[in-house]
Amino acid sequence: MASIAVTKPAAVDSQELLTRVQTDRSCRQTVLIYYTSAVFWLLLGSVLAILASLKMHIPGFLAEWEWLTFGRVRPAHLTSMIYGWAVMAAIGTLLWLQARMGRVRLPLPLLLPVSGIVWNVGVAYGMIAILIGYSTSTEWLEFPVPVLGFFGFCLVLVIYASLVMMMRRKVHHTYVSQWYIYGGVLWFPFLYVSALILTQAPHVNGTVRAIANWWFAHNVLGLWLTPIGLASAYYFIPKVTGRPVHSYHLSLLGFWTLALFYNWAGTHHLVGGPIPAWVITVGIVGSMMMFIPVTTVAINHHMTMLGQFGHLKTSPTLRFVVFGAMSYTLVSFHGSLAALRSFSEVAHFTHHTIAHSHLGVYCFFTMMMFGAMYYIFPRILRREWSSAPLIKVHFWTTAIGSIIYVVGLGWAGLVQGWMMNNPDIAFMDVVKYTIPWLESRSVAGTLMSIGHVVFAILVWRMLRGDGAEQQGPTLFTTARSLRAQRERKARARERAKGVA
Amino acid sequence: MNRSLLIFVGVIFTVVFSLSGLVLVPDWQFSEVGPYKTEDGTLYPQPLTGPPEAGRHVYMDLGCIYCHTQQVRPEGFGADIERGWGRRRTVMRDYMYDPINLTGTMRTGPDLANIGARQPSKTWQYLHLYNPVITSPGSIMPPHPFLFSVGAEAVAPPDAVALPAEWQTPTAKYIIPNSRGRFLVDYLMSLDKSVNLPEAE
Amino acid sequence: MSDTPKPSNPETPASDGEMRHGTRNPALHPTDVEIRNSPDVLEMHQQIIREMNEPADGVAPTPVWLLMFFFALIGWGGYYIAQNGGGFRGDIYNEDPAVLYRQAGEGAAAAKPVDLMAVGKRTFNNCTQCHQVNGAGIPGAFPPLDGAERVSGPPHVLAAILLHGLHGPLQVKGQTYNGDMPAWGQLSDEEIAGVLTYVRASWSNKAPEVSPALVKAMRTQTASQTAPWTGTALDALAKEPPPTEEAAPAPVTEAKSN
Repeated sequence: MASIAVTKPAAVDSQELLTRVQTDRSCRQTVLIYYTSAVFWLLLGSVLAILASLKMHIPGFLAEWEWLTFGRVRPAHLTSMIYGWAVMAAIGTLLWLQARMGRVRLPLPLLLPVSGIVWNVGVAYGMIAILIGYSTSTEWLEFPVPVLGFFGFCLVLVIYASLVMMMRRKVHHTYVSQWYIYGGVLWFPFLYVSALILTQAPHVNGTVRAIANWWFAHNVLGLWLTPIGLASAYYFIPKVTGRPVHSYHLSLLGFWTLALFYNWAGTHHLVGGPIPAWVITVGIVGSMMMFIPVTTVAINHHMTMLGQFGHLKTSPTLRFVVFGAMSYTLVSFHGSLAALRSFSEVAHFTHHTIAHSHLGVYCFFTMMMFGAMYYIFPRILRREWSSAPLIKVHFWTTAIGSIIYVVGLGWAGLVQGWMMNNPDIAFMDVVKYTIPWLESRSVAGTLMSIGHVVFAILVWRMLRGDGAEQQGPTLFTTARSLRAQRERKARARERAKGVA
Repeated sequence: MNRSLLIFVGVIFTVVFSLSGLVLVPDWQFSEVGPYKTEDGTLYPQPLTGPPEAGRHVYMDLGCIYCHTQQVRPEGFGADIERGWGRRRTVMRDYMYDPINLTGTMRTGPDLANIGARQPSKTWQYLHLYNPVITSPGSIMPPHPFLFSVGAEAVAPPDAVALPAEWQTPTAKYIIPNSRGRFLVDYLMSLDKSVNLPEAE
Repeated sequence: MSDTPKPSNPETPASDGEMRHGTRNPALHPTDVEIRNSPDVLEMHQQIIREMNEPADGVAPTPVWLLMFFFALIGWGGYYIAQNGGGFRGDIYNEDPAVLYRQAGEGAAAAKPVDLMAVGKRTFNNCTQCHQVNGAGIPGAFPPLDGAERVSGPPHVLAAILLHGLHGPLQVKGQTYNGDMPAWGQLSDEEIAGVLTYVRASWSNKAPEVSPALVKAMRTQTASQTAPWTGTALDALAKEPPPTEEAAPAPVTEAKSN
């Protein structure tokens, strides 16, 4: 056992350790508010998801209640998951990461926790508005315009905090995660405000509204959730494995090409629509160009992980993060190809798109955030997770559930598209074909939701202090079994030596 | 890369660049285009007013866009025209006065770009909204009973729509659309993009 | 890229991640009095026990094959935009480069021969909502087309129904239907003839085709009619002779050219 520690890098100085303790402590309230709220919206979003999924194949289910009709439950699910879960988890993570990497305390110790509460009020207001019939009916921007007041207040504070932490940072050299966070924090408010104006203001051309709508909806993934997700991957993979990131040059190339190309990809959602050919063509090329940042990031992460995959057996954080990073590569390659006209002709307007978006927002981003939370919660609360088996249940239910979801619906969507493009097949037969797959989606969604409940229980027990008496981190494999394994290997080596 | 100013400028530049290129340039290109003067001298399209306009709000608040598109893809790209969803592709001009983007991205149900021309029977629309399987067996569209009241009086009111015999119950022999139901159907009736436009080849 | 970081400490351990407890470390003996007296000293112990260093950058070079691949991709992007960009015009929706270079008027091709069954099958998509794909209708609400007497009867009656719609009680296959059928006068003569031909030759129906000329004649004859037909008026119409068709003009193609 002692052999592990003697190689501890000498670079750690006491001052840095003290700073680390202090930054973690300064993040405590803010991150806690953002994280626990995120988990609440995750649970609510799961309930709405199951409701919407059931309504797809049992159309009469709860049909007499207008506020629970499919067309309202579905946007409520989306906004709960995006603006409740994903954004709040992202803000919590990015604030902690910025403080950690800059070696600075989190500024605004009073206002930032308040912003967490204000954000919750904004999301709650928006969700109620959708359910009682005041949705803007603009995908990804369903919240009524006044919600911008709540969000704007919080975003201004988050931008300010992020800029201040960048300026005050104690380490001159900036790390790749810092660039992504810095970018995402500036991009998201810009996207939200300009898209809200262009889709809702009077006297804008109706087709321009469609373009602005998808410019936003695609960029909110690519220029907000993706940067935060990638910043987490870039931070946690080297942090847990203890290895430097493979290549600084690749990091640089990946960041700037993402900034340049992702911006232009949104209009591939409108292939075949009432949009001039050049706008679509530019969107397709932008999407294909995404091969550059994605390949770069994939190589960088893979080379960092090389030889370190053994950590996946022990570290919950790393397991979720690596699942997320692999999904990122997959969803991005798939997205680039799906943008092509020939692919879009089939897959557009079908459940294939739904599968794709869950591969992105769930398998990539949500899993990444789970990983980050497994790392950050114990640091800000100075307690350990109460149960490794429960973490395992969480991982396997969400992983298997999301894979069933994506594979099943992805395949069904393709067949649905082929059938729909054959006018000899009656439309009703296309609908009937999809029903078993919609049912498989309900099963997958239930599985994922079980995982979310397990995670919520873990968080609840963490807040209650169940893991307080525990000494070391909660890992999948215990110290004893790891030692036994290492001894077995050592014995095998000695035997081999003896034979030689 | 240690200058946060450089990242700041780069980040803002990329997003402003794409907003201008993808959104503002098309907006400027479209600004020169006005409504189309048809052969009989009327202008197409016209902004919606009155009940159809009210119906659009019903369409929005019930979330119809999550299953229905309002766009027709060109001949040879998909089978939209072969399926009878429209006689031509839709173009920018069809939507120029729309105060909200309802083109949609999902076809769990059929396209509605021309539903007013494709299904001009209000009776059908009411029955279908009340319970879609009455007119479309196998449909997974949710019923919208909250847009109607039901009745079973011997003498039905003038705006009542009789239910087919096998769907009647002792308390519900006919349905009466409420104002939102009527607005919604008026909106659907207004969806007609069959005017030929020169750019929609 | 002048600010490339120095290679990080190569002695970074290949260790087991967060597994750090129960160990001692030389770095844990701070000389700094302030730190030693800090109330955080216990937490600092915890930090060093359970965490690795903050991440650092490696300096592996970018592989050349990757850069070549990227340049090839950018080249493709440029080519694709040039080919399918529609000249960056706001009124060109078809990405096919041929559209951009086509001369005005060249597009108006010669009238195509018309396949009435094909036109009819497509047009029939508008009818399936009520009469259903199999022509069976909805019992009690919408009458069937399959096996219905009128469908195989005089074609000018069918044309009249499509042009002006129906209202009120109607006997079909021994059942009385009391509803409305909308008028379909907005369809072209060819589409009406096509859909009638299709309906008359589908399922168990075996009636001959209907010509666009007959629909045209019927449209002229009933031009002044504004109200839909009733069942009795139809029965009267069925006894009348069909309208005389004009001297067969060339097949009318839909005015689709521009």
